[in-house]
Amino acid sequence: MFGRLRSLFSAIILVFIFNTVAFSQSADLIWNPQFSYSWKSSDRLAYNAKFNLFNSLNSQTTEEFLQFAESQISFAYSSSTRLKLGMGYYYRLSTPFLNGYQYEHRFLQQAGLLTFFGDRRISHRLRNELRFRDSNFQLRIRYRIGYDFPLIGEKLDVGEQYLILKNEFLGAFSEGSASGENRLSIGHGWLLSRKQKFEVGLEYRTRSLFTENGIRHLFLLSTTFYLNR
Amino acid sequence: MRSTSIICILLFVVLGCASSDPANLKQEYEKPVSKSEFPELANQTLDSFFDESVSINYFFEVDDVEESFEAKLFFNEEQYSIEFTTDGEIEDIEKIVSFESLGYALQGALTMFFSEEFSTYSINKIQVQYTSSVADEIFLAQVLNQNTDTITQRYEIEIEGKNDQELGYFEFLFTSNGELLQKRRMYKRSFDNVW
Repeated sequence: MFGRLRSLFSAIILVFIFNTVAFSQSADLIWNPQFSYSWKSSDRLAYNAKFNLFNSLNSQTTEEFLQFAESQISFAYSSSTRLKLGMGYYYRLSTPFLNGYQYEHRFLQQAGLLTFFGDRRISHRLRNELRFRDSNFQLRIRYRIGYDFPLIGEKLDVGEQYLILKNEFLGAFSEGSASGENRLSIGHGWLLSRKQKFEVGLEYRTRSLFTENGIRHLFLLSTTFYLNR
Repeated sequence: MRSTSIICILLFVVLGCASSDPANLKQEYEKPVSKSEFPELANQTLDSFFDESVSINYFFEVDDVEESFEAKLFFNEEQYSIEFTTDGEIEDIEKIVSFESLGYALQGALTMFFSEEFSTYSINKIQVQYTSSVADEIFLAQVLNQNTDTITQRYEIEIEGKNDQELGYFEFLFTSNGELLQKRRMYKRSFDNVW
């Protein structure tokens, strides 16, 4: 079972690398390091702070390398063991080392539903985002489904690894325009302790769906360290 | 950017101190092992009852600080977990059962207990736990033959529930009369990477 999953993961990485090379002239390549810190004040109330960077791997200059810097703070209320409702705020700074950088304030509301099959989990997340940018306002509605499971055995214990598969579709609406985007990703995680995990993910984004300009492709390599109390 | 950073730091300081692991958290770790890594005495006991047609999964387990080995198997359409000491002697035998298979008196006692403990709850798993001081071969034969009248029985029940103060996953241990022996909170992985 583990061998088959490892083969599947290797095959997906090969497809990703092939696509990356094939599309590299027209696609954006991003390395996305993230740090996430979560904590609880009770069984029902949880908080999360996240910081992440979007670094362009096909940038021509050092100044262009950092595309976005984002900080996020959010909280979630658990109405049951499976259902969470939450709100949050993002601040994004675009191309901070270039003249004419842009900022964005983002407010989000979200609902998440988690279903367990032993230690395998299926997650659904519906998110509404209000993006206030210096150039315009945009409303985004996002739906994501995820599945994560231990690579060995029935339970994910400390020191063990897991896979996480996600797909998200989002619609973006601003004055006079609308577009869609799909984000397909696979991640490989290590449960370092009950409070720490590290995840490497590969994400393929199909952008500018339903627009006259044509679809754009983005490949994103994420490295995320999760810390929770 | 600066104001956001200040808000984040303040929230870390104020709210980050408010949470820690509860003292009654179930600290269990389970790792698959091969048959050759299992204690020899335990393998001898298992081999004398189960031929090759019975598929056995072997685990090494740490519960708090106590180490043990566990064999999980299906036999006569029942799911058993046989726990051994590190020397290979049987500690206990567990069998997954349904709520409906419990006696009416026990069903009533448990329903009353959980209704008082939680505003809403659901039972995820029930295991009857057998312990005995007789020789391992006799004990295992008694359990497999459902001849359990003289064996100590307890019930380990996993619950998902909530009340005004608590919300989460819990493990309860009851006597065969429905008296509570132990309540532990179960560890569940954080939502942070799927939320």
